[in-house]
Amino acid sequence: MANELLIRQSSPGPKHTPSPLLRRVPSWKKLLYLKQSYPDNYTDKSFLSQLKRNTTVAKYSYFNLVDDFCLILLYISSLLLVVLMFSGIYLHRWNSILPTIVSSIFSILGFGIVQIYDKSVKPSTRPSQSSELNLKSFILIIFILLILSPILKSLTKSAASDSAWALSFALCLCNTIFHDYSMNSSFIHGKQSQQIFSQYKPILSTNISLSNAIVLASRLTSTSQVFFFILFAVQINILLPLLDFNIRRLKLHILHYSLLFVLFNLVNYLIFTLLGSKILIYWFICVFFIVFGMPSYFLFLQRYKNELQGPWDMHKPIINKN
Amino acid sequence: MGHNIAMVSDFFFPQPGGVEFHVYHLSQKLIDLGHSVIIITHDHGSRNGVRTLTNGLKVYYVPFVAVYRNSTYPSVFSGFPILRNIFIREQIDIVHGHGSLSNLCHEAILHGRTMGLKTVFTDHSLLGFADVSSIMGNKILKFALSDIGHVICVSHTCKENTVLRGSLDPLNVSVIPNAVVSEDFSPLAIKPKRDKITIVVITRLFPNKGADLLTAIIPEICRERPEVNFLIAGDGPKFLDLEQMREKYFLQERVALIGAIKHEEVRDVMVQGDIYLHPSLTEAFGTVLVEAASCGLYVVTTKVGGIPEVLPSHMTSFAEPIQDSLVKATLGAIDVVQKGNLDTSKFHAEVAKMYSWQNIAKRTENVYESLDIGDVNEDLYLRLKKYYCCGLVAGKLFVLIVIVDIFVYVILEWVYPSDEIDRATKWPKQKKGHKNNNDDNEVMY
Repeated sequence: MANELLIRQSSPGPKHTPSPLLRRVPSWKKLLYLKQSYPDNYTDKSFLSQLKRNTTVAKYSYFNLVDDFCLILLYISSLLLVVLMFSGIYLHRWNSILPTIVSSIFSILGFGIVQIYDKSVKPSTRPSQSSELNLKSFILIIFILLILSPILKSLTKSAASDSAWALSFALCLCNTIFHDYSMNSSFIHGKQSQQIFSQYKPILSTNISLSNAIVLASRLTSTSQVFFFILFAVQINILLPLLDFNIRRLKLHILHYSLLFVLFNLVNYLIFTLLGSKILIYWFICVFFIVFGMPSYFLFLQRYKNELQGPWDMHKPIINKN
Repeated sequence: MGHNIAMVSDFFFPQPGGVEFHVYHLSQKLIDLGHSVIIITHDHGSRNGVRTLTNGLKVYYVPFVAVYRNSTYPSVFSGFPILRNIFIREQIDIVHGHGSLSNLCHEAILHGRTMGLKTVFTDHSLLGFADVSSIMGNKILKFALSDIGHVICVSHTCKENTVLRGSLDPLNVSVIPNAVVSEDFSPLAIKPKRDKITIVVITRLFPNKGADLLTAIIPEICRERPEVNFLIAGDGPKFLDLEQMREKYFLQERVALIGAIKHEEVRDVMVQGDIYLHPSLTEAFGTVLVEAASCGLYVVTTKVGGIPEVLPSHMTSFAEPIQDSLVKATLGAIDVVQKGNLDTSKFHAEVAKMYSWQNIAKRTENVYESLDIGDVNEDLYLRLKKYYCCGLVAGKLFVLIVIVDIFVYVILEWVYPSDEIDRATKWPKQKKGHKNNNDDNEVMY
C-alpha cells in the first residue's frame, strides 16, 4: 500500500533483477560491512518495513469540532457588533453613550465573576494585587483615551471616508485571520491545558482591533462620541474575548454558551434593523457554513493525512530527571 | 576510455565535513581508475577561481554567495551560464551532485539534464517530513531528482529515506557507503599498558548529536567506575552544559574537554582511548564510528538511523537513545575491555577490508557505466510528464521552470556558441594510475 502510493515508476529494468541462478546465495542482510552478492541497487522485500504512518494522528469528534468552531463565530460576532454599532452611530445618529454604559457594566460584572471564581478555585496562587493593578490600568487607559480623543477625531480628516472604510475592512479581515482562537480548550485536559491557557496572549489581534476602532472613530463628529465609541470597541473586541477565554478556562460552560447566544442574537438584531432581512439571510448562511460546514471539511481533509515516520527520524533522548 | 565527471556540491574544502571528504577521496580514486574528474563548488572567501589539487583534480570555485549553512541561494537559473561554460570546457558527460541541502548541486543537475548530460546524485543526510525546512528541502529534492539518471545513498536507511522524500523508484537508488583511508586511522604500534580506561567522544556538541544524553550519562558512569576517564573533543552550543556538569560533579580531573580539533588530529585523539562513545540521535552513516574502529577502539553507540548497518556486533555495543540504556551499554563495554577477552588489534585490518575508497570508486564507476545516454535522454514530453507528477501546484511550476531552462539554454547557445568555448587540456595520465588499477582489482576480488 505504502509503496504503491509513494513510488512513481515501478517498472524494474531487466538488468537490475537478480538472476534466478543466484537463488541459492545467502539471503540479503541490511548491513553495509558485508560484501554481499547482490547488486548495489538491490531492493529487498523488507524495504521500508520500519515505516510507520500516521501514528500521532488525533481522532476528532464532530461535535467537539463544532464546539471549537463556535469560537470563530463568537469572535466574528464581536467584530461585527462594533462595526454595526459604528454604522448606527454614524448613519442614524444613535446615542453612543448608552451601549458603552451597558458594555461597561457587563465588563465589570464579568471581571468580578472571574475574580471571585478564581479565588474560590485556588485561593493561594492569585494575589489580590493583580485586581488592584488591573483596576488601576483600566482607569489609566480611560483617561488616556479621554485626553487623546480630540487628536484621534482629526486623525483621518485629510482622507476620504471611503479610504477609512477600506482600511477598516482590511483590518477586520486581518483580525479574523490572525486571531488566536485557542482551539485547544475542548480536548486537552489536566496539567497540560493549564500551560496552554497561560500562554494565551492575542497580541496581534488586540493591536488590530484597537487600530480598527481608532480608524472608525476618527470619522465621528464629536469628541465624546469618539471617546465612547473607542471604549465600547475595546470592551467588545479585546476584553470580551479575554473574558470568554477565562470563562472557558474556569469551565463555566453555561456562561460561555449564553454569552455566545446573546452576542449572536444582538448581531442578528442589528443586521436586521440596519441592513434588512436579505443580508440577515446571507449572514445565517455564512454562520451555518462556519459552524457546521467547516468542521466537516476539516474531518474530510483528515483522510489526506500522510505522516511518515521511520528510523531516519531524529530520536528524542530520554533523560532521567534528578 | 574514461568518463569526464563533474562533482558538484556546495560542500567542499576548505570547510571540513563528511561530504567534503567523500567528494575528495571518491574523485581521487576515480582519477586512479582512469577517469577525468573536476569539482565545482562555490567560492570560500579568498579561495576562488580554479585550483588544481593532487593528481590533477581541478576545482572550480565559482562566485556564488553562500546564504545559509554554506549553501548557495536557490536562484534556479543564475548559475546556468557559468555551469554550461564549465561543462562544455571540460567536455563533461556525467554530472554528479552531492548533498541534498546543496542548492548548487540541484541547479547543476537541472542544467545538466537540459544539456542532455547523464546525472547522478549522492545523498548523505537523513531528513524528516514534519518540519517546515524539511518540507521545503524535500520539495526541492523531488524537483531535482525527477529526471535523475541514478541516485546513490550512503546507507540502506538513507535509501529508504531518500526514496520517500524524492518519490523515486527504489531500483534507481544504489547503496554505496562512505569509506575511510585506513592508513590515516591506524592504532598505535605498541599499545601502552594503562590501568585506567579512557572513553573518547568526538562529536560536534549539538542537540541532534546527543550532547544532552552525553551530559547526563557522564556523572553516572564516573560514579559507578572510578577507573574511567573521559576525553571529549568537539565544540558547539552544548559545550557550556558539559563544562557546568564537570564543575557540578567535581570531574575536572577525569573529564577532559579539548574543544574542536582538525580532522588530521582525530586519529591522535582516538588512540589515547579504549572505548569510543557515540551518543548521536540521528546519523545517515557515521564515518566517525568506522574511524574509531579502525583505530582499534571498541565502539558504544546509539542505535539510530543507519548506524546499525555500519559495524559488526563484535566491534560495537548498541544502546537505545535512552540514558539508562546507554549507561548500561557503556558499563558493559568497560567490563569487556577490562577483562581483556577482546582483541581490538585486529579491528584495523578488518575495517580496512570492509571500507576502502577503491571499492567505493569501483562501485560508483559501475553506476556510471549503467547509465545509457539513449535511456537517459527521453522525449521532452516524457521528461515534462515526470516533473508534472510532482504535485498539484508544484508540478506545473516545475514544468514551467524546465521549459524556461530550455529557452535559456537556446539563448546561451546563440549568445555564447559552444564551438567558441575553449576546451581545457586534460591532465596527463600517469603510469602510477595504471598500477593502482591493478592493485584495486586485487583488493576487490
